[in-house]
Amino acid sequence: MFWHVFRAEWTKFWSVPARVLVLFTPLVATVVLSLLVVDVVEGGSPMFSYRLVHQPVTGDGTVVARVVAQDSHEASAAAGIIMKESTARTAPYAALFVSPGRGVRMHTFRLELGGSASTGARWLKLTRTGDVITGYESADGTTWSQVGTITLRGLPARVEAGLLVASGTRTDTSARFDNVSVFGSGSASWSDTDVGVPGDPGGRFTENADEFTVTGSGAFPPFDAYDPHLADSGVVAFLFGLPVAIGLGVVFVTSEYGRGMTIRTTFAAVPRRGRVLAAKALVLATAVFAVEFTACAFMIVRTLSNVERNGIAPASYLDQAAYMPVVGTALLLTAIALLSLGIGAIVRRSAGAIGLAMAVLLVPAILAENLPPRIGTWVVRPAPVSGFSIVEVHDFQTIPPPPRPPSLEYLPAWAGFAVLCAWIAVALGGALWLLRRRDA
Amino acid sequence: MHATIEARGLRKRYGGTVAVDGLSFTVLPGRVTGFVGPNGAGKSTTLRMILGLDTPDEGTALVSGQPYAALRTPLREVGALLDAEAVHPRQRTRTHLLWLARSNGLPRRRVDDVLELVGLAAVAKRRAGRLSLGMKQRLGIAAALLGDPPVLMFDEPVNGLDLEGIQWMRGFLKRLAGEGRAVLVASHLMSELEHTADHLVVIGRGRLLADTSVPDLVAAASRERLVLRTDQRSAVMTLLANAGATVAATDRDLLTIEGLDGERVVALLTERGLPFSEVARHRASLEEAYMELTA
Repeated sequence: MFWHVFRAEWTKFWSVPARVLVLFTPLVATVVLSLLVVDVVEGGSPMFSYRLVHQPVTGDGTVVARVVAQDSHEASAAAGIIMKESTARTAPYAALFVSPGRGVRMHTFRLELGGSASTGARWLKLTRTGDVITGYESADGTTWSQVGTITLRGLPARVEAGLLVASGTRTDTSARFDNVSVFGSGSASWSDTDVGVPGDPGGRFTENADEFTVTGSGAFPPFDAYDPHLADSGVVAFLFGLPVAIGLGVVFVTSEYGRGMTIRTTFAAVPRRGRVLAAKALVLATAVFAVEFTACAFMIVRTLSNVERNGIAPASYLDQAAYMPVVGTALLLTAIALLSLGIGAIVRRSAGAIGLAMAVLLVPAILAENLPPRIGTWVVRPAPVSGFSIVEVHDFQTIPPPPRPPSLEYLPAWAGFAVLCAWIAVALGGALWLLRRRDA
Repeated sequence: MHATIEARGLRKRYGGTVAVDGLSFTVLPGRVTGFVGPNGAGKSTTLRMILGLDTPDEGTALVSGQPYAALRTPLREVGALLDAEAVHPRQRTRTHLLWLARSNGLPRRRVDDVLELVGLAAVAKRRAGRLSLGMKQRLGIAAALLGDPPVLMFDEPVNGLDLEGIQWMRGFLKRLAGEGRAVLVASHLMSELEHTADHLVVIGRGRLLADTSVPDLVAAASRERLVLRTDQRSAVMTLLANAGATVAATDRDLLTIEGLDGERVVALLTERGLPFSEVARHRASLEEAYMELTA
C-alpha cells in the first residue's frame, strides 16, 4: 500500500538529524532575523523628505486643493495635499498628489494606491472620518471619483492638514495650487516645514490671491508593489529557503546512492520503484511546504505588526496580495525541492545534482538579464525560473502597479508556476523512467 | 519439496564483462544452501537479480514461484542481507528497522522482536554509523528477519566477524534452516560454509560448477593420494614414476603420489630396499575439492 511506503519514507526523512537541522534552518533564520529587525518602517530613505504647508485640524475634517502646475518632471516628484499626525518625518500620514511620472497617487509609508493617470491640473480632496482617510480626485471640482482609503490606526484628534511639494531631486522646484481650503475646527494660519530637515526655518511658500506657490525638494519615490513589506519579507524567507530546498531535494535521493547503497535496501523492501519516488516526493513536499510556510508567515506577520505600530492598518490576510507572498514563497520552494528531487534521482550524485539544479534554475535568469529585454523574455519564459513569478506581488493586487522601465517580462504568476510544474513533471518522469530501467 | 528460490538461465553482462552466464539452480527449504565461488564469480550479481535490483539480460529468477517485483510485501517472503553497510550511518539502529517494517506494513513490535533475536536490543538507540561491523551484520540479519520470511539470503554474513560472532552466526543459520526456512548463504570461502551448509551451489566466472551435497562434492573431487616420507627422494620418485604414478615433491622428504594404491607402493619400495618412514592415505578436504573445481 502506498500509505506504508509513505510512512516508511516519512520515518526515513526525519531519522537523520542533519537533514532535520537543515530543514529548519530557514525557519530559525527568518525568526531570528525578523526579531532583530525591530522596525523596518523608519521614515523612509534620506530622500524621503518634502515641503509641507500646514495648519492644525481637530477631529473629522477635509482638505481640498487644485494642483495647477508643477515645474518638476521627475517620476518621484509630487504636488498635492496631505493629512499627517505631526510634522515629524516618521509621523503617520495620508497624502494624495499628482506625480509627473505616475499620475494621481495616494500614499502612506510605502503604501501607494493608484488613481487616474492625469499629470496636469487636478482637483484633490482628502476626508478624514475617524481613523479612515479617503482620497478623491476630480477634473472640475464637481464630479469626484474615489482614489482609495488609508486607515491610520490610533490617529490622534488633532492632525496637520495642508499642501505638500517634492521636486523629486535635492534641488528645489515650485508647484502652484489654487482653491485651497481646509474644513474642520482649527486655526486658519498656515506655516511650512521640510519634514526631512529638523529645525527647518520655513518661509518657502507664498499665498497670493488664492494662489499658493510652494517650493520644495525631496521625493515620493514610487514603490513597485502594493505593499512591498510583504514582498520583501517573502524574499528574505525565500533566500534562506532556496539552498535548503535544492539541497534537501537532491540529498533525499542521492544519500541512498552513497556509501552502502541503501537504495538497494529500499528497493528490496519496495520493488515498485515508482511508489518509492512518489512517497519521497510527497514527504519532501509536505515537510518543505510546512516549514517554509511557517517561516514566511512568521516573517510577514512580524513585518505587518511593525507596520501597524507605525500607525498603518495591515492589509487583510484574506487579501491575495497579503497571503500570496506567504503561500507563493512556500509553493515555489516546494516546487524547487521537487525539481531537485527529480534531478537527484537522475544524476544520483549529490554534488553533480546540486550543480545541475542550480544551473537549471539560475542560468536562464542570469543569461536573460544580460540580453536585450525582448530576447531575454523569451529565454526566461520557458525556463523553470518562470515559476518565480508566483512571488511577484503585482500579479495579485487589484491596483495597477506604477509603470516601470522596460525589462524582462515574466509570465503571469500562475502561468509561470505552471511552466515550473511542467519542468517538475519532466524531471520526475525522467527519474521514474530511469529508476525502472536502471539497476539499483 | 517446494522450491523457494529458482534461478533459470540467468545471464548478466556489465559492459564487456559477463558477470553471470546462464546460471540455473534452486534453493530448497529446511537446509542451508552454500553459494560459493571466488571473488568476482557473480554471486552478488545473482543475489541482486533474485531481489529484482538488477535486471537479468536473459533468464528469470523466481521467489516462491513469482518474480520478486510481483511481491506485494516482499519482506514477508524473502529476507536478504546484501551489505551490512547499507544503513544510513546517522540513523538509529531501531529507526532503520522501523522504516523497513513500515514499508511492508509490519507491526512495530516486530522491530523489538528481531532486535532481541539478534542480540542488539541494548544498542537499539545507537546510530548505525557507531556500530561495530559485527553489530552491523547482526542488524542486517535483523532486517532480513523482520517479516518472518520463509526464504533468507545472506551475502558474506560472517565477513569481519570475530570468532565468537562466526560461531553465533553458524548456529543461527542452522537454527533458521531447522525452522524449515530456505537459507542461501553466499561466501567466497568454502571453509566458512564447511560446517554450516547442507547443500552447495558452486559457481565460477558466472557459470554453475556444481549443485550438490557436501559429501558428494568431496567424493567427486578427490582422487586418492598417498603421502610418503623418505630420505631417498629422487630414487623413490624415479621408481614410482616408472611404475606409472604421478609423483610430486611437496617437502624436503615428502612426496605426494597419485595413480598407485598403497599396497603396490609399499611392495615396490620393499622390493628395491628403499627406505621410507611413513605412508599415509590423504583424502581431499572440501576446501581442496573446491579449489580443484574453481581453479
